[in-house]
Amino acid sequence: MKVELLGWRSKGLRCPDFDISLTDKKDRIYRVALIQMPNGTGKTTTLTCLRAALTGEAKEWSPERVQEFRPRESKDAFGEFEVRLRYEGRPLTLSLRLDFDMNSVHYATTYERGRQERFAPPPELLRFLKVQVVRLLIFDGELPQQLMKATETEAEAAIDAFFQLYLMGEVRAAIDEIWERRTSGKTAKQDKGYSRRRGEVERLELKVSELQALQKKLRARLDAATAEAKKLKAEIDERVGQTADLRKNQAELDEKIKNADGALKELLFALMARVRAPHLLHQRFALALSSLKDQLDRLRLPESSSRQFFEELAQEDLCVCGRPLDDVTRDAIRLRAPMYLASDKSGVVNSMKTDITRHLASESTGGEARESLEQLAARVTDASHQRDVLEAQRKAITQQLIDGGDEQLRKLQERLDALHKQARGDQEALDDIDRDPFNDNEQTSNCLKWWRSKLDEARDKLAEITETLELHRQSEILKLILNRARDLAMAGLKMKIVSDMNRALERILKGHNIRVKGIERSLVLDRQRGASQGQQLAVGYAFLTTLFQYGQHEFPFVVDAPVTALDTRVSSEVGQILPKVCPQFVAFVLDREREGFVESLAMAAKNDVLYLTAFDSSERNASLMKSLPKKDVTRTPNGVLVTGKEYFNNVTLPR
Amino acid sequence: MSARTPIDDEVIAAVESAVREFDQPQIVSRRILSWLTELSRGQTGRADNERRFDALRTAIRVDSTGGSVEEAEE
Repeated sequence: MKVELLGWRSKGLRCPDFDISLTDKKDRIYRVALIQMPNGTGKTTTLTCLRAALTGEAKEWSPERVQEFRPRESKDAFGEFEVRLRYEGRPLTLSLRLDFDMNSVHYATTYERGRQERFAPPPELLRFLKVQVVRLLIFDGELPQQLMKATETEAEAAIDAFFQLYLMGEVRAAIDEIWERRTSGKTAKQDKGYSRRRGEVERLELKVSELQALQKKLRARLDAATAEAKKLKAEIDERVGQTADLRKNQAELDEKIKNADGALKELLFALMARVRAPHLLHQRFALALSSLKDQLDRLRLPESSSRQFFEELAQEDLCVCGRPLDDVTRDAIRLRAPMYLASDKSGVVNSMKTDITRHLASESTGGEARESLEQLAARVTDASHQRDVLEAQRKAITQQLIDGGDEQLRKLQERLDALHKQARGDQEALDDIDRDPFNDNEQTSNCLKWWRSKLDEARDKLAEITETLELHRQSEILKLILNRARDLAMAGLKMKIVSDMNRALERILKGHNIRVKGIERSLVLDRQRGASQGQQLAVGYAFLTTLFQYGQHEFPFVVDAPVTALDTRVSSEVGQILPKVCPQFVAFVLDREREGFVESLAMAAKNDVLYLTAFDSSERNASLMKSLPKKDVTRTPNGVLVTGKEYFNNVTLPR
Repeated sequence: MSARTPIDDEVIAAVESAVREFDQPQIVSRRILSWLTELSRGQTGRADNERRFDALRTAIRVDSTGGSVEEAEE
């Protein structure tokens, strides 16, 4: 990520109205920009507005805070501050408008899509525009102390931001979000739910397996009973057949029973066929079907198969009605064809319409009076009764012999009756197992289909939670890895930074014996208590420049009074380091900071330096106003801006 | 601050080391680093995150006792 500070503009604030540009004629930023300003010219206002423009923090300012930016004795209702940036090569402007009457601050952002009346930097940049990060970039004078204060977390926060350790948090958050999304509709997400569902599947598997075993047992018993019954019946018939008259009667009855079975079967088929033709069941069905047919789309053809028909018809000489076609009628056919075309479903609709018409017509015009359903049902009942009577007659023959004292026949018949009874019971039990469910409340039944459907449902739920649990475990492992990786990275980076910082400090603070022992949440010095303000500032620079050196982004570094607290030698060392590690260094300097610092800075920046001197046009700067150079001077209603190294190096600003 | 590689070497080493500690295959670290790199280049969308997460899931090894699971009401 690359961000360049191109400049800023202030108007109607407690600093002169300036439009500061940090770029050359080719719109390239200077590696170093030095802005020399006397105290009281509004540096604090400028730096605060710079931070506020970058962070969006001014939205939270209190009325008193807003009034602090109003120029003394000013009656203007508004103040403005605009920061011009270049983000990844594209211009980005963040501006503030302070309303001193309403005590409010309004933000505006101008970026690729134009101007938005709010603080809206690109999202990927926004995460760097936090107060904690921006105060490193727009260097806060209190920061060095805070970097070393045990209760503060500035040092760790800076490492986190510059080395993008927060990305691990972003991946963790994305994983949490995915987990929530994928399991939001799931009723069970944990092991407890899994155990319960596993138990339910096992219970249902056992039940289904028991029913299958019972079904198998019943079928086997029925088969055995049928075979034995057949054998017994043969034995009984044989015994009965030993009497000639009875044999004849029996044979006649068997024939009649066979015929009665056939008749009954035919009648049952006829009854079923009638039930399957609803329009024949009742006139209401016929009327309803007729009404349905009338409501279906009229005159529609399936588009995929019929479009070509119209196209080809339009090329014929004669229409389907036999009339000749000309260009007008051909165009009309092409134009009107879509009115008769519909989706391919219309083929099904047409087929339905044809069937309904055919069936209703055959019923109403068939001529043959159809037997009513009731009559047919009555005939079935009669036929069934007739067959039962014949069966009873046949059984009476056997009974006659039993009553006559045939003990052997009695035993055979009793055994046969017992078998029939058992078979009826088994068949009922089997029918109960094989039948379709009546409803969804069959917990007390043996309906196998119902139990199987419950088992399928339970298996689906188990599969769902199994997948959910796998998702959970994978997510947890990933998050543990990310946490561990962040800790390892933070520890490794701290060691690396401490080592590099100490090398830089040996050079910057030669002979001061200041070393960093480690980084916990803050920087820990070997002898913290003894560090002077200047030494602390140097440690702060060493820390930040090390971060700049290793981090993965390019940001401007803006500092107010960078070396005021340092002696000339240390200032010179700092000056040599900063341009090498910062792609853009912007400093508000006092004239007394020039010695040592500016020269070494310019040398390290290979003279890619912008020199600006700015002051307000108040009475106290009257002498400066009188001795302005002839060129490179910009006057504003309340300030003067002079560009150039010579003026910068030679002017003496009022104290 | 320079822009050499999107992710610092120290971070790369930390991810690789953490993946080894959790006895996961090397491909897991490659996929995590690929996701981090994509994130560092700009905000990724929901679909990108889903895709990257699923790619990681296929690489993650879960043993039968793996993963801590909380008890909760169904």
